[in-house]
Amino acid sequence: MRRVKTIAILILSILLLVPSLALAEDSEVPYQTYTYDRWGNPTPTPNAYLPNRSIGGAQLGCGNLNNAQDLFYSQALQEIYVVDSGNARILVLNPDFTLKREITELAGGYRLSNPQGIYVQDDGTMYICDMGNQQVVEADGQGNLVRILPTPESPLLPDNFNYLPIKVVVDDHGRIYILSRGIYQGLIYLEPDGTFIKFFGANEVEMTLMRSVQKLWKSILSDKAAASMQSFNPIEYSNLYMNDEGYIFATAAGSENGAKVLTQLNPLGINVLSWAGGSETLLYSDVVERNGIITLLDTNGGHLIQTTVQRERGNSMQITFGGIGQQRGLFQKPSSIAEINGNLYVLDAEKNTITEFVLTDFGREIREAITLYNQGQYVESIEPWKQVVRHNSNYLSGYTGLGKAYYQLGEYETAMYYFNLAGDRQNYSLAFKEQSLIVMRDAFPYVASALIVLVIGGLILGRILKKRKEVRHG
Amino acid sequence: MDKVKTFWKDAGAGIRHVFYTMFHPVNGFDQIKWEKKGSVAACCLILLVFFLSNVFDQVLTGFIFNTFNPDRISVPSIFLITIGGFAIVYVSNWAAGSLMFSEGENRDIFITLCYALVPYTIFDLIYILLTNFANLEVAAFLTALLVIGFLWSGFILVVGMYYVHQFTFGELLLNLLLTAIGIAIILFLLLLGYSLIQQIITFVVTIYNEIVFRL
Repeated sequence: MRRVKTIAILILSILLLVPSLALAEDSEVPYQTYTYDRWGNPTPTPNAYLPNRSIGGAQLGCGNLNNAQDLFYSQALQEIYVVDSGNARILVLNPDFTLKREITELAGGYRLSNPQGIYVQDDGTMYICDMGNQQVVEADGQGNLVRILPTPESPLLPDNFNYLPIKVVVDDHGRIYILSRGIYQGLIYLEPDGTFIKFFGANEVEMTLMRSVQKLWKSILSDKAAASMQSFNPIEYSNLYMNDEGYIFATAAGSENGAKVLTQLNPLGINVLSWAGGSETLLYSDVVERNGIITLLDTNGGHLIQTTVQRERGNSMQITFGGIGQQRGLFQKPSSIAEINGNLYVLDAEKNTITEFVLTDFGREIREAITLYNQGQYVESIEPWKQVVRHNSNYLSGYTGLGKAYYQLGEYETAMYYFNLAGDRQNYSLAFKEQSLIVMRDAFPYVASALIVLVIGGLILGRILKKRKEVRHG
Repeated sequence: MDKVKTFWKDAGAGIRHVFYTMFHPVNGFDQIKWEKKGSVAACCLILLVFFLSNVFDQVLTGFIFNTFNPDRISVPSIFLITIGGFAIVYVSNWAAGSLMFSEGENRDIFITLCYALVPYTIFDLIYILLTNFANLEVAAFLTALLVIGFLWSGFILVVGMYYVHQFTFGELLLNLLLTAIGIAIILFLLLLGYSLIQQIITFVVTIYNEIVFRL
């Protein structure tokens, strides 16, 4: 009897473990992925990315990283570049994260000192922001020093100009855009031969009522008194990214003076991004963009924020995950991100690791749907969107996508249903207009014939009554 | 039975008089003042419809025009804002009238204020109905409807006040200003009373707890 009891208790306690086994996959993730509902409240959502592994210097076999600042992926070369600032070296990795080579010294005896950023062209030419030596250097694919770009000289530069290049991008024509620490006037824009042209794409300063009043005061006060007042400088950028089409994405850490925390600069240096890109508490340190999907890195909260270039009004196609902490998947001081074959890689300057995030099924469906959607292939995106909203009925962009697809197919009632779920008034209105036109067109024969019958009937009735009257009075 | 019949007859006449006054405010308010036309029962009905139209605003407005979060709709608070707000305006106007030796009677002021709600409420109900059949392109026309209703209501209010209180135009403006000040004072007192009552309740609860714990 006692034995039976023991066995029963054993079985029961094993059964108790079953639910926790079912939750095992979820509980491995130290963060809650979330999106926003149509009223702007955060809503939990299934994970779109899961932390898979973290790669440190030991795994690479080259000694620990130290304050690594930049992660760059060259699709053409299939190479990953890690700027290991503290160790004054650049690591070149294969896409499977094995060490290919290590650059500590450029051929020609040039030693790097505290490099902060790198840009690699498709032919392997490297542009390295060598902040310790206060210059940008160009090297070829083999690591031979090609030239040292001269310190920019121009009357436009401030008197106390201290050249501290931290990030660089180079366009297809060889024009160089350099981000220098402490320069809020914009990016330093150089000719291919290295001569300074102008400042490029400074962040905006929004004119508010408060600032207009201060401006008025400044015009009244003496120059000396005005100089002691708060100045309205645009905020300086924190990082650069150039996408395949040659647009430069620039992030800013914080948005005082109404500056945009994310800008997408066209070749004229004008911001073409229609939305502001976040609140003031976000300190963006890096951004990548692929197929219209933007991933932002927020140093303040250790969050990865994924959204899209094109956004519907009142509909933030956004997922947020990550956080600050020690566990895998959380960060201490994330400095840079890269996207390689759909997976995300985050470089942490304090943990000195690269964390790999792999797409979940849900994340893959979102990407597939968004990619089709951004290409305007709404009808083809129906199935992926349906999968997405099946996984997460709170993902509003899915409903917008479905609504647009059915709108394109001419099924306006279904489109209205989905736009309603998405809370998308603008598009709902468009579908509603089409639908009411159809209803009116369908009803027209009946209404028209009823009207005709009524009019003729009325005329006949009137004549009969008139005749009777005449007869009666006759 | 006869009493019920006369009540309905009176109410019917009252409602007819509401619409008459909407289009002939001068005559209508003269009749209220001197011939004692218009009924309080009909005015209570107006208040009820006004309250309901405010509820419908949040519930029945078409999806395209409805910006209310359905999770946050609270009918009691709408009741407080509409009927409570009306009561405050009414009391304040009555008080301001008494201060200025107006000839307006209590009943007349109540009826005038209720009549002033009518155009806005009607246009609001039409607006709510139309939002269910309109798209964003005609939004401006719908907003214009509300503005027309609002202006009409304001016109009726001014004319009504002018006749019921038997003021000159200058006195009327002063009266409206005093009414606004009165509303501010009433709200302030209500807030004060609210916080005082809250403190008294906390005080009583504390004493009760002390006694209970020590027993």
